[in-house]
Amino acid sequence: MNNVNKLMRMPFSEGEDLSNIEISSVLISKKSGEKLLQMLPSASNEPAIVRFEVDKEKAKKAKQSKKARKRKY
Amino acid sequence: MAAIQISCNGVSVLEGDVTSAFTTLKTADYPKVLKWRRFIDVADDINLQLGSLQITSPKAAMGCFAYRMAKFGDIPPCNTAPIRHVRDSCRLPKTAVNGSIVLGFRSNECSFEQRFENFQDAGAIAGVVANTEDSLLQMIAKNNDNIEIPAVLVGLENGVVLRRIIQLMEMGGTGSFATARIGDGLICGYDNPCPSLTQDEVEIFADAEAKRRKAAAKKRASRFVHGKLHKGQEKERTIRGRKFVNPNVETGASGTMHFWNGNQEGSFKYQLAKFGLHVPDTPQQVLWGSDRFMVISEGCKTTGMEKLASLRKFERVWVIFARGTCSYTVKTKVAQSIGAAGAWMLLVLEIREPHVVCERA
Repeated sequence: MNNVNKLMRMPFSEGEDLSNIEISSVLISKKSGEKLLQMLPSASNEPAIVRFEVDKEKAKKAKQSKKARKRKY
Repeated sequence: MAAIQISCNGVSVLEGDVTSAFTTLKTADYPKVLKWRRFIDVADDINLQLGSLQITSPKAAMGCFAYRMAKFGDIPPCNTAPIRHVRDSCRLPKTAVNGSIVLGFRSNECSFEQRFENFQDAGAIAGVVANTEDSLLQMIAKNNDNIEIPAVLVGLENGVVLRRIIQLMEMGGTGSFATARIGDGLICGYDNPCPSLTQDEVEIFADAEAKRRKAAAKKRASRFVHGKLHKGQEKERTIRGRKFVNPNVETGASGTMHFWNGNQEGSFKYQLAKFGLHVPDTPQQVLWGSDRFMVISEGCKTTGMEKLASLRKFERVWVIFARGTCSYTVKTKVAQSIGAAGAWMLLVLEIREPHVVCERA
């Protein structure tokens, strides 16, 4: 996607070996990123805390539509 | 529900399912230490020894941290209490920890027993020790009767994050402390309790080496490409209970990231990559990936990332990289390689140019 403020799932190239990637990657928008940078502690080696909350509503809907698709066929 | 039978000096004192056993033990008129020790001795079930320390405030750092109960000490209490960190748990804490849950770190300097005695003498209501690695072992003591406070062990990664939460809260200058509860959700009837844990979801000390060998053998046997080969194996594969992302499934691929630096909080929408692992449930530490000019790096090569490398000792830190120049997968691999076991994750910002945060004086 070209729109820098839109989110997408970061892709990978066909045939790429991903077996040794054992960490997570997420993408946030430019606007969120700039806001986040302002909030980061400026001192070296001073980590902040981050917590991830999976969008349960969206996950539930995706699960339901998958079930519906299965029923249809 | 697993059945349980507890006997003391040959006399059966308790029989029933785990829930009623817990409840009875909590209220029964047995000597505190005896009842708990007998319970642990007889109920040789690792899943019963597992629980979660739940941070209840600050809101931005709320989360569940897996622990394993010691073979000594009392049943974890139900009340919520401030959580404090002591730098040297081999000596009596210098800070006032009366009525608090106290966190210390394991080292070779002294025994578990001595640490918990120090916590107890300082008036702590419970003690938490962070292990030297992520796996959980069951702590033992030469003389169990000396320790009456609940004693639990957390993994290194969780210990480091907990310590940072405590530090950030204390540095905030509000005079308040982070609070936590360590009781069993089933017994205590909490609102929004931590989910119950099973042995498969945490690394257990006794099994760690065997698990490592098994994982290495599995890895050698199946070098797979996501979405192309060995789909069945891809689904099965997990690391510390976290599954690999399925590129074709949208379930759980988006959500909200809650950020907290001790003073400010922020929530940002995120999208998960089509590769790597799912995001973890527990709060994590986050830092930006910087080169020698202290900028947000693109993360296409490791040169100049002293800051990140220095964080290896902290183990897993999420790092922030800017978008551009190389592929997302290269950035992820760089993040992983800088931190060795360290950089837990890569956070890619949709920024074309590296963003200067501050310049080195």
